[in-house]
Amino acid sequence: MAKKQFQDFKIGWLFVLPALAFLSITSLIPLAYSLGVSFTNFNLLRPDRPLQFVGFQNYLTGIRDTEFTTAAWNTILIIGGSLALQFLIGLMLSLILSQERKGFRVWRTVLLIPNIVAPVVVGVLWRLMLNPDYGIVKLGLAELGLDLPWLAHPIWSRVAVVMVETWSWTPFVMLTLIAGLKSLSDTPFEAARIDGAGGFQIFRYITLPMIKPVLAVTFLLRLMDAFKMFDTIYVLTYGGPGLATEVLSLRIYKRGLKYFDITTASAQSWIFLACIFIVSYIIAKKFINVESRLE
Amino acid sequence: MKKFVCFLMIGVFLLAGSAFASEIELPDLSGEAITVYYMAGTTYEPAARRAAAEFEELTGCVVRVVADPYLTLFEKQLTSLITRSEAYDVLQVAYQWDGLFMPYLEPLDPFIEEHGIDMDAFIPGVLANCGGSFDEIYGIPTACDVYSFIYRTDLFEEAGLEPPQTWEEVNEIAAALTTDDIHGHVLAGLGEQVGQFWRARYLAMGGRLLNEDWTPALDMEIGVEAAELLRDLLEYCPAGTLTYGYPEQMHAFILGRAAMAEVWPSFLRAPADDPDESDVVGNWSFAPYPGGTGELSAWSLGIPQVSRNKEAAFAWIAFFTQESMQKEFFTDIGIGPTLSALYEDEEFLAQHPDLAGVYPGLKNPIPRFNVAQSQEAYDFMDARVSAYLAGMITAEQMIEEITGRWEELFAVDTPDFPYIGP
Repeated sequence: MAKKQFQDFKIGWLFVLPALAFLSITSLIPLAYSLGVSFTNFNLLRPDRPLQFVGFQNYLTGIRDTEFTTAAWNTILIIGGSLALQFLIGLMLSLILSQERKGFRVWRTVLLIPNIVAPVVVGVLWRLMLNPDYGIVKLGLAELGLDLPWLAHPIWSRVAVVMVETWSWTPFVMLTLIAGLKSLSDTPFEAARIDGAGGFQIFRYITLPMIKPVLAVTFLLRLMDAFKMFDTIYVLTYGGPGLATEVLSLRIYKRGLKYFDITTASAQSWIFLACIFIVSYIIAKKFINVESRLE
Repeated sequence: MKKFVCFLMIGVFLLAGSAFASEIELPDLSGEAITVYYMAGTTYEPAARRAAAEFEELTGCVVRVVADPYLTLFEKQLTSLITRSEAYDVLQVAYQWDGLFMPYLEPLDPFIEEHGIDMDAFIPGVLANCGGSFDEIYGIPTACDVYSFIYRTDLFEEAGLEPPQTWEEVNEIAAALTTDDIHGHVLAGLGEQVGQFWRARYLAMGGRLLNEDWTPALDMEIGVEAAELLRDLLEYCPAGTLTYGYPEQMHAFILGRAAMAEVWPSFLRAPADDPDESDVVGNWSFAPYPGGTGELSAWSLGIPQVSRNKEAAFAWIAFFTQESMQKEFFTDIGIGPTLSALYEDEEFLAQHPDLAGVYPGLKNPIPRFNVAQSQEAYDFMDARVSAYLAGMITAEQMIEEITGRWEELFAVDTPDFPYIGP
């Protein structure tokens, strides 16, 4: 029996090994390399210079970089605003569209379209729609009295980015919440109705607690993805005006590949990664607690 | 009848031969292929594609044209150079990148001597800033421009106005020409290019960017005055001018929505005179910036050290930069020539009177510094000017922040030669 188990163990490893090797080569080695580089004085433009260990010098430079801190605040603001809207609108849509009524299936598909569009295309599309001279959204909103300098003003450009992110990602939130809602058992709802509970009471005391795990997972997925936001902003505002919409990924990209300051860019990437990890860990921990409470 | 057909065929062959002619002697490069990397858009890329067909016809060498927009060209070219990629044989290099690119480019002096290229034929103000490093040449200037005004001659004439001679006059004229239908001015105010407009005013008012030892020399009083002048001008520009790139600015002018603009002439020369695109055909002209000159734009063609086809690459460069090609590119596409002769050819000037408005600026242009810190230093300045114009910071903060960052930047790897620019 032990021999058989060992055999299974070996075969298991054989199956896992190619994927593990692939992941190591494509993910872990570059990660380790960037970590190593972040502690040195390596200069991509002058590779002939002697390599020296500089400790946390690049991390200090990275944190002291005012553009990096500005980008960090922008990231928090944009992610905070867009995720709040995505979940608010996504939850409302999912509550409506999870019902099996005529035409709802078509609506669900139609509403998914923004999420299918590539982020670069989303950026181009909205850049055209918000164009101050002929942009359909800009001119339409102007007709309604909202004639705003969408991409030229620091506040409105942030609002524009939040709006575009919300437009693009709400369908994803809606879809996952619909899946969550559809997986719920009817029994507690029927019992509540028999007990005379109203619609809001059912939502507040039954639906919401029951879909909390789905909400948490969706939030975690969206949060991790939102931190990586790059393409849309690159095309839509390129971080402007000034640095009003510059987010961390765009800032690190500029430092690394526009100014070729690879060491500081690597250090900033690791700081960024650590932040994502900590936030994700807290949310995941909270999610596990939710799960255990339900159990 | 047979004789007639024979003559006809000879005639056709002769015509075909003369359609692809070169004033320089080109080697037979049959069986070879080179890849040339240009800036994408409506100017340099079409010129390269057009020349590629002619070059192949004349030499037998296949030319693959690769193009990318300005925003990504620098990083892609520099990445290919520092990774020693053999992907490209010829690079179109902006002069402000020279400091970073030259260590990876092939010195061209032996090729220049071998092919008998007359470097004295190039505009001295362009040659001094583009493609060279002290005594060595790494790129042959292929295109140049100097920031200038483009203005509506009909509107200026109607209002009895002359092109501005001072930066204060720019605002006054813009105010005078602004109506319900037309804006007095239009800027390409996107963050990555707006710094230039502030620099133009600041330098014309006597400001300096750096001291000889590469420490920042920004003057607070002049800087604030220049910034306020620029901010005041926004009142006479379209509401979205701070979101305009060059295409939007160009369209505002050629569609007759602006009376004046500050532009790279190469981008507007051809479309402004194209009746299919322009509503202002025959009603525009260029005028130099106050003080007679503006910031320089110049491109050279260089060869990466790792190129395997250096001979063919240089033949391409010589072919692409020769007088007849520059004349053709200017006439058909609007690319600013780098050879003095074209600006001094009376017949050519009579056909293209707008050239006269650009040449004075090119003779003595204001160059960007082109050292390793250039890209980040100018990017930071652009972002700060953009932040000021968007109302995020004051003019004083803008000057202080640029000074602070430039101090940090130039404190590391300070160039070992003195700064000689403004």
